[in-house]
Amino acid sequence: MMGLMSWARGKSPWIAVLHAGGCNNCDIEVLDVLTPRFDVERLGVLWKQNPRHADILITNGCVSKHSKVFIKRIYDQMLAPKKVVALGSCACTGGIYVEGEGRNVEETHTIIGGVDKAIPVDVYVPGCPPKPEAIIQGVAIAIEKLKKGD
Amino acid sequence: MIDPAIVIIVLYIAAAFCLLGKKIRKGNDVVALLAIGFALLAVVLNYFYLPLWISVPGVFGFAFTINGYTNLIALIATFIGFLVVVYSVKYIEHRGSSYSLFVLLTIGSLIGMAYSWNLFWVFLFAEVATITSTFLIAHHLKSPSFEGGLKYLSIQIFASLFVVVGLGFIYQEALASGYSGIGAFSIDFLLSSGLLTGFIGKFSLFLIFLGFLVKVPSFPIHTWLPDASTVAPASISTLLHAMMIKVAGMPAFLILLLFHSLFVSINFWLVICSLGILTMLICVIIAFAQNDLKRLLAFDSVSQMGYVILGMGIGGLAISFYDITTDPVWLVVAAGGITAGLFHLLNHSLFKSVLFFSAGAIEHETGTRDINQLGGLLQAMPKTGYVMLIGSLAIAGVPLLNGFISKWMVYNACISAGQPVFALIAIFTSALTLAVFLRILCSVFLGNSPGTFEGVHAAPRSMFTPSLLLAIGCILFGVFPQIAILFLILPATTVLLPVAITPPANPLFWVSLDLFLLGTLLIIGLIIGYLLYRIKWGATPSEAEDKTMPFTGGTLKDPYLKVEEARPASTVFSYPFRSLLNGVRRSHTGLVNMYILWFVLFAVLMLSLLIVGWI
Amino acid sequence: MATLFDYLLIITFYFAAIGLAFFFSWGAAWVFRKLSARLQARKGPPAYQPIADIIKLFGKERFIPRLANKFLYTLSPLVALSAILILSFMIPPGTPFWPGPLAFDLIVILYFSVMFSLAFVIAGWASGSPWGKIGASREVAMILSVELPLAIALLIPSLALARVGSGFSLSITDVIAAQEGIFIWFLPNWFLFHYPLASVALFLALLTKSWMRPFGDIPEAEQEIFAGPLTEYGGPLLGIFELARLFRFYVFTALFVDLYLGGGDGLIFPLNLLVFLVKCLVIVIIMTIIHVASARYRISHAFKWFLTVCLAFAVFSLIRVLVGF
Ligand code: SF4
Repeated sequence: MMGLMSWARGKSPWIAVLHAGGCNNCDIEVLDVLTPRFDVERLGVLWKQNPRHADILITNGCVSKHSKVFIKRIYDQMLAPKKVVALGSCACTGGIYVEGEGRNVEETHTIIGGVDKAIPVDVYVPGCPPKPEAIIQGVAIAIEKLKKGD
Repeated sequence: MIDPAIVIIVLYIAAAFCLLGKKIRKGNDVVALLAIGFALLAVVLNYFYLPLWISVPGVFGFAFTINGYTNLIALIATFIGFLVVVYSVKYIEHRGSSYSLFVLLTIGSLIGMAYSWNLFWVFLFAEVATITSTFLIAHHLKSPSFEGGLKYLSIQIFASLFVVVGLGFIYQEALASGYSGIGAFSIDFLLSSGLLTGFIGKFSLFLIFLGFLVKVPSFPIHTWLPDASTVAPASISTLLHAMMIKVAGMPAFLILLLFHSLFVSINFWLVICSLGILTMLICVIIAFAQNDLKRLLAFDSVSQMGYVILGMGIGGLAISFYDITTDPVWLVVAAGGITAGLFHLLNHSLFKSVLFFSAGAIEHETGTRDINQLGGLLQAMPKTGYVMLIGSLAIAGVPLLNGFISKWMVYNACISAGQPVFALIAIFTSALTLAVFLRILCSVFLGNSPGTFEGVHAAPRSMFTPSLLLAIGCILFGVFPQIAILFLILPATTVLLPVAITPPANPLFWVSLDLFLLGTLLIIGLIIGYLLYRIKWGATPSEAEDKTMPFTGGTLKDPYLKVEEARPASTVFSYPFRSLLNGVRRSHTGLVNMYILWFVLFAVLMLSLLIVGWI
Repeated sequence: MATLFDYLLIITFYFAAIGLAFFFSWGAAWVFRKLSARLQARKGPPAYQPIADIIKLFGKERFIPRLANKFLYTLSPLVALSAILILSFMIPPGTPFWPGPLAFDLIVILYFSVMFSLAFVIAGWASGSPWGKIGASREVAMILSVELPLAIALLIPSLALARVGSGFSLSITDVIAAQEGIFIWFLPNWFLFHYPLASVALFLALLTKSWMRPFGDIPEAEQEIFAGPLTEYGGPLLGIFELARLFRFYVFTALFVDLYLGGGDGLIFPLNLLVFLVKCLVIVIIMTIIHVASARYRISHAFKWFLTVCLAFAVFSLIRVLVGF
């Protein structure tokens, strides 16, 4: 039973894309992944803009003080098992919107930093914006984690 | 067996007692309950045709007959009457003695009307019931209730004019043949003596038919019913919808079907069927536009009576085919139509009482009956909500509830009589009814509470139990309609048919509906689904505070959350019919004069059709 | 009255029908997704995809929203599944010798298809979600607009057999049996050739019933209202809904094939089933092409289409049936 379930989870990850802040270029880059050239439906990925249906939440952009609550709530509203992919430098660390290096960034008066300041993140995909191949790889890693279960 | 005369005398005497016990409210209730309980016992006993052990001498001159048809109608009247009295105990708060008095008088007269087998007595009891129920409609003693009551009374009195003229013609015929006295109006006498022949007989019966058709009511003359039942207390609306329009309206079809030899014209019956179709379709569309819960239910009642008219019309159509061709196949079709009509009549009393009782409970607890203001009552009044859910689904014809069976029988009757167009329009009406009731259910029960109904609690038990009983009846007749059809409907159908037929092996008349199998398969499907749901598939639930809040894109603040209070605008449903609705709205002026004018125009049209000889 | 043995036989057939419907729908759903992907010059998902989705949904957590009515929220997916399972039994796989329709008729099929949609309406309202409510009221509007053309077009083949009196029945098997033989020339005796306009009306109505564009996905338009009635559903309950929706590929195409495309053409056992399934698959492919090639209409357009064009088609055929030419 568990084997069947982990197979099914691996074969059918549904994604929801959440834009938290940033310049919105990553958001547009995700759309490329769905186009004929990269077609992620091969992997069973379906674009479900509804956290209740989704297994993988792809977040992009840095988290502002305003959007932190929303991100937290949308993450809460996803049903277990669920994984989060942080897409782009902004989502990983805060990117060009904050000062400092790595995780040790300073908050500005609006921006908190990366998505991991608001919700637990499973996969980081750096890049500004990341290439579609990188996004697909990030989703594939998240799928591997989904297969392992909760 | 108890003579119906005793029942009626007991009810009248109890009514008089209620007048005496003006001081003690409890006494009134006890007297009323005892009297109506006795009536129920008597009517149920009459069902078994036991030997007569209480009878009164014929000094009163009542002309009662006990046969399948009168039994059915009397049972509906008494059973619903009993529940109405039970319901009123808690529901009517400020009542003087007059309420119990008039309720008992009305119920007594309607039982008398149901058992009467003499046109004169039918008319007399109908008049008594009309006048006494006027007081009940105006019970609240406010100006709208007076207005509703007066409208009701004036239209009814105008309608009985037609009956009087018709009876006068018949009496004239009787006198000319050397008969006199009330016995000349006896239905058996009129049938056996062959007094009514030719044009005069047809004309006088048709006048009586028009008079009683107002009480059914049929399409152009339906306006009194919504007006009256909106202002009346809910128990009185139930009384009007579940028994009055049936007991007082059915004589119209009784005389048409019994004197079928006068109405052999196919066109005549097609006109009756078209009346049924117009009634059901137009009134259900009007019901879309209503915001008042009771008014909506009232228009829907008229629409449901359209099914009854259609069933009876198909029965008559098949009987006249039989008269023309003497092919016994048509007798089976006729039996199918009449059975379908009568079964829908019975079912309509069941689910419409459920709905009116529940609407009354809602109004009693919340103080409003505006659909747009009510909401989220399934949390506050869960029992009433589920009962009303059953009633609504039954009236909308969801399978395995009684409304589905009777509607299915009506469709089958239409198609087997070679009139599929009627069946198709009836199917469409059924979908519209579903939409109307979904609108009620969704905004009144499932929608979110606007917050004003925090303190609302469940209805008192005496107001809930009657609707629960009737809802159980809905499910029972939905799964085992054979019970109702074999024991209640078929005896009544046999009375109305010209030649007795042997009931077929399957009482649904057509072999192609196996409800037991349908129920089994449905339950197997539910079990499959439930097992799939319950199996432990292995996922641990995540813990989070906002997990169960509705998904609104992350915001839970006011302007975003307001969308949660979204209600289906009635325009969504009525959009395709908006031009028709505007016309209807303009024509329903609320003026009695206009309504009586409609009636006159309708009567003139029908009578001129009759005189020209087209129907 | 049926005996216990009859009931056992019928229940066996019920499970056989469910099995057939399930595997056909699985294949058809894959064809649907693969073909839409190919038409958009994509690769498309592998064949196990439809079933993997459903199994995965069953493996998620169980969950009931705070504003939902628990009883109705849980009940409505079960009702949807139950209704569509009965439908897949009541519509015979192309053969006139099928025990189901002896006990039921076309009107019961019509009512169960309404019950299937009704489950979605109740689900949308009971889940307490704003998008659910909007989706549910759209679903009601779609029921209303489809109902009349659907009912007329559904009953036309049976009415055309012209039986009145006691010999009448609305059984779907009679319709299948009546379509054997040759119409004119080399054309088979299908009702498609007798009443082409009615078949178009029925096809459009069934297209809408099975959530295909141009009208079908108005209630769940994901660019406007997320997932419509199913927005608040997740986990096993959504899985049951998706399972029920999977069967649409069998039920609604089989209905069209039985009524207008001659079912199994009266061949012997394995052949007729094969012919029937091939016809169903062709219908699925046509539906897919229409779905991919068209945009979503507004809801008032749907009303207008169904209550004018489709209704006119259906009524024209009905008049032909009644007049008899
Ligand atoms: S990572 Fe770069 S491209 Fe992506 S949102 Fe941030 S700034 Fe824009």
